[in-house]
Amino acid sequence: MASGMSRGSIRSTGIALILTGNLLVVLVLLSLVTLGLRAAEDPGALAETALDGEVASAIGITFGAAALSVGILALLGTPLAYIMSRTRNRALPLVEALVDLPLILPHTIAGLLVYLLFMRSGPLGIIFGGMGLSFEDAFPGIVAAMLFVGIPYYVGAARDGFTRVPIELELVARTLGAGPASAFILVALPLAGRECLSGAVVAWGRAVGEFAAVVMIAYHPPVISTLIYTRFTQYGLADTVAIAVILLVVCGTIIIVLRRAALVLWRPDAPV
Amino acid sequence: MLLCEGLRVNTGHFLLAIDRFSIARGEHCLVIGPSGAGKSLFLRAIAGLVPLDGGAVYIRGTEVTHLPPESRHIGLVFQHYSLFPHLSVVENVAFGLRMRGVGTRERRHEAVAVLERLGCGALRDRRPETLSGGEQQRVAIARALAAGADLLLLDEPFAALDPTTRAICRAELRHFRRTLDLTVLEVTHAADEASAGVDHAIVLERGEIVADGLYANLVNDPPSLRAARALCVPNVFQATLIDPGRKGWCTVAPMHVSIVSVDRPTLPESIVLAGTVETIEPLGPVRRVRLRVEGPGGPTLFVGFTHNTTEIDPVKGRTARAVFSPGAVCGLPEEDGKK
Repeated sequence: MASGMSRGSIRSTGIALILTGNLLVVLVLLSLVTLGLRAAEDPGALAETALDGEVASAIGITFGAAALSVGILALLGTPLAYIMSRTRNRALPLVEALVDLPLILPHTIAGLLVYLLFMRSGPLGIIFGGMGLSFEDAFPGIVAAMLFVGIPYYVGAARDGFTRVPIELELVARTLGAGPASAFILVALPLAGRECLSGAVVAWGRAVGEFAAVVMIAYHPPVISTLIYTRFTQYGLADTVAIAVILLVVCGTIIIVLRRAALVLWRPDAPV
Repeated sequence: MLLCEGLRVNTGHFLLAIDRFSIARGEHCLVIGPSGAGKSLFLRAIAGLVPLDGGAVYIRGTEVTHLPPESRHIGLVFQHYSLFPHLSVVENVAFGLRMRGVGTRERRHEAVAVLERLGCGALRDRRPETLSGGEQQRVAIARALAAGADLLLLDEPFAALDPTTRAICRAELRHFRRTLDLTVLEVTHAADEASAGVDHAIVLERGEIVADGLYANLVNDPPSLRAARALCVPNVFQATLIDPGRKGWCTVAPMHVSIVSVDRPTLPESIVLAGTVETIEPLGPVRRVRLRVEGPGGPTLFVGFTHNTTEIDPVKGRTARAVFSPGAVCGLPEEDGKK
């Protein structure tokens, strides 16, 4: 008797693996098809929703706030990720835990933390209030909530990117005349750029889909998740399905374009 | 060219303490020592990449202790040569010029000129990952030269290469050092391989220099057993010394050792050790023979020479004898200064 697997059993194992592996793909596809079929039942509602000013405004606020939160994340998170990748001290595990905390917190708690920080009497709310910036039921509140939940996604990806850049490259750059900032900008950042961009895309996607954390500090103006929830509880499924289809098309297109940019079009070349 | 005085770097768990070290212009100096001896830290201290806790560094006669790395005009080359993978060859070579504010067209022109001087102008538009080990070395040297460096600090650049490529790269480094008047300070584990063309060597142990001198002198008369081991000195063996009458370590330079077949008569005053021939390498009129001698403390590899002339030469795998005069034997203190 042959000790190895027979050709037939290898084939059936392969088929079983393919079927099991594709179950998740089928699950997502099935949900999309179900949504599409639901929307097709009432094409008029789809057209009406597409022209609904409140929906357009919610999409604009969501994407705008998400983009702004990712921009701030990149600005503040990139140096943090770089320092985390280059530092070896006892405080590092604590910093890593703090950065990853929003990942494991229920988003309502994340929203509560943001609210406590940025409400009018909160420590940051007082400071920003002095500058005329209000967070409660306001666009900055949405940005703050999206920023908070996006921290682990962006910083984690960027830190992995910087960790993969050998320190020797920066040391060589220093001996070739680059100061610490130039070595970072011309060597470390371009080489970790793909991971930074990838982290930004994921953080942006997370921000667009955020509901619980946002709603805790800013129920108004409604972001798309808040609007879908409100319409679902007030008007039922038909209205909600139409908004979901529109959002899916817009988000899907943006994610595909950004992913391609991160993985294919990213050219970290610097001009000579 | 390079002088370090009273250099101290304390990392918290390791102290680098170099009382005095210097190399002259055009010299090739090896920094040898076991892992964790502080070799790489020493190079980084010279380059200004780690803060000093004391002492001074002089390059080209000028004190650079308080200058940042970018103002020291030295070339640093690590394992794999550390070419910037996101830049083309010419962009790599032009990097230092870019940092000096040289215009785009001018720096490209200068970078190509340096590449052509090193015989690799055709590589200008290639990416580092498409280059062979030898080509990467040339580009790394070109990059340092274009940035105005005439002192190269090499941190085990050949460690990841296969033996053939390593030998080619070493030959090229010797060539460029001579033709371009470069001063080279090289950290290596493979002291025996790196020895060709080397002028000077230091042995570092636990952050301190335990041997410093001309490479040939150190190999022929190592100051200590630790230095002999670090320098990969062959023919290190234990013997009972007549004076002071105790067991001690000794060495004998390969040039003083004849490896002869057992049939060959030897002089009565000679020291004769029998062993098995491991390798025979032809070197012109002589052959270098490695003989494995079994002793009470384990096997010892003896390297010596034999002439190509007789029909009773040693044969690989057969028994032969290492013969040398007692006068050629040097005692090796186990600790420095207790010879």
